[in-house]
Amino acid sequence: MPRIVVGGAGAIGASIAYHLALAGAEDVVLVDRDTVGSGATSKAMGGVRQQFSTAAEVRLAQESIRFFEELGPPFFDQVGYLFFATTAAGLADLEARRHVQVGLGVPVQRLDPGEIAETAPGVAVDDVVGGVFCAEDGVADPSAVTRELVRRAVELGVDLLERTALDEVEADIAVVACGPHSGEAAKRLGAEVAIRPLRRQLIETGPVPGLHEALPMTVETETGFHFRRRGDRLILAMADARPRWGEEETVDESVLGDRLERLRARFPAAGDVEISRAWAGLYDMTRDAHPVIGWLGEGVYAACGFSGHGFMQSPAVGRAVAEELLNGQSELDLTPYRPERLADATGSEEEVVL
Amino acid sequence: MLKGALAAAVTPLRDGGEALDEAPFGAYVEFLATAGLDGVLALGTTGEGILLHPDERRRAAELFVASAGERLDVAVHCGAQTTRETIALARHAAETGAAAVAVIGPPYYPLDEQALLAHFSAAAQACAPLPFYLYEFADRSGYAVPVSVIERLREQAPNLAGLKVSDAPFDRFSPYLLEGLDVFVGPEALIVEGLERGAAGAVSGLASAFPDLVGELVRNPSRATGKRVAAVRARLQALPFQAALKRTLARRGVPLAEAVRAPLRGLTADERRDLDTFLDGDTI
Repeated sequence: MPRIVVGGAGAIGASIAYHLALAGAEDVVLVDRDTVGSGATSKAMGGVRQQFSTAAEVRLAQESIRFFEELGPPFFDQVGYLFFATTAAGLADLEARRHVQVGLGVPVQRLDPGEIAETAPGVAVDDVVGGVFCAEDGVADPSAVTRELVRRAVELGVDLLERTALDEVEADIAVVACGPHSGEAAKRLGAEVAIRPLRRQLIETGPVPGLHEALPMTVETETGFHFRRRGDRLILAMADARPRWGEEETVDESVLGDRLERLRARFPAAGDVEISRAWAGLYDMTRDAHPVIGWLGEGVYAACGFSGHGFMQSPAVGRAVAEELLNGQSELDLTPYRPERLADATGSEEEVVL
Repeated sequence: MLKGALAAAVTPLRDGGEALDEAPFGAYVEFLATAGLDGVLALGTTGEGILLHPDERRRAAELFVASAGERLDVAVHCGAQTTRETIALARHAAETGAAAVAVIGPPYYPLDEQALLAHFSAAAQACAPLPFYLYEFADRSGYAVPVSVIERLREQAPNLAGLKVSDAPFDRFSPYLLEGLDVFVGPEALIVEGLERGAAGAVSGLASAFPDLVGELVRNPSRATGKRVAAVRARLQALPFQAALKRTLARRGVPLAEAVRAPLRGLTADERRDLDTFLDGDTI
């Protein structure tokens, strides 16, 4: 049996290693240049949603949610995802998306402001014109899920090597699942994959009085400001006005006041809370913001470039990659994610069916 | 007779837009029918009709009609630069089993009332007794067809059933709301007002990729929904429209390529990413 070495013990790598072992692979090594779940996974928001626009993406999301459901609390809280709008244009986007998603079998419902107030207890709706909600979505704990998958993988015989780089271990097949560092990891194996790290930051509040445990992931669609509950606190985020490319993981403190103000306006019960901590992590962006899954070259396979939604897709991706590596194909459709689509720098992909 | 909500369908192309792609017609028509539309207008502005060779137009019309069967009414846009070609296409559409023929005023040359009347009259006659619809779109023809031409055409062409009107804003649209003719609204932003004022339905370019969204609006017109649909149209229109519709359809599971016929152009990498972000929502 070939030796498969999975590089990157984050959500994606852990899931691939676990599913490989589950499917009977006998010689699997999971390596991480640092420790389990120490990179992007530990920084992630943990939102898990099905609200995507292609059958392939929706299928990955639905398979993943099934897996998260089995894990259950405290790994996963199925509180739903709420997108709401404060303008007609914002609601237009949500409605268009809802039609696409419903067409793909995602149970997304429309909510009026009154229903939003009921669905998301504590959220101020005076300026809200409407929204959409998928009750099957939810929020997870990326670090805990990843540690659990690694624990299970090791139990099934996977060798775990921390503080080890992917190219340090002899492999028949090397799987690059190194998130934002996948470009350099591939390079060391003589392969290429175009991944750009993008810095994003999250903020955690202190305890918020009376936080309802059914509070969904709540997203203000016009601004992208969003928050979720974790324990007795809220975690909030919003995309930067200008994307911050690069590997640095420092927090931009200049926006913290603004974010807190937004939270206080949207969630009055947080009126007196302060920020407890803020941290930054890296997205692994591809040019089209879709992942790269497939062979980069002889013996080098990529599962990276998830562009900010890797954790939520990690269970299904892990299974699909394991199936492909062991059986040559997966029942899940990975064709939209092949590396070849990014090879043409001119960006003319007229013939590509996505 | 046409009724209700129709999609101004895109035309599946391949080889960088240089050839008709016959394979996806069935799946595409199925997608539109499943969404609950009443019909399609094939080969109109959204369908790149005027850019296609007459043989391609005939073949595409046949494929739409054959794929639609009893499920959807297929109106075929047969407007061409010359009267002779328009007649040939209209005759072919009638023979193929289309439910209706639509014809735009020929672009490029300014045409006086006499010339327009002769053109439309010949086209209507070529497909008679099939219902004939005049396609009024001043920005594309280069002129507005005078209402007096339509009144005279009624006398000459008993099969004139109505119009598709794509002029906006509403005061350019409303003169065509003529007693006894079925008017179909082109601009999504005018659907609600048009229906309130007696229009028979809508023929929408946006419905080619969002049939559910537009179908719902035509069935349950409300100002608020109308505004939302118009906003989605504006967003797609900011991109190369036909290519954006085709990519949207591909993402929704209709296996067609993004390819469009030059001089229309495809999406740049950035435009493609913007469209996907619109469809998927931001990374959250």
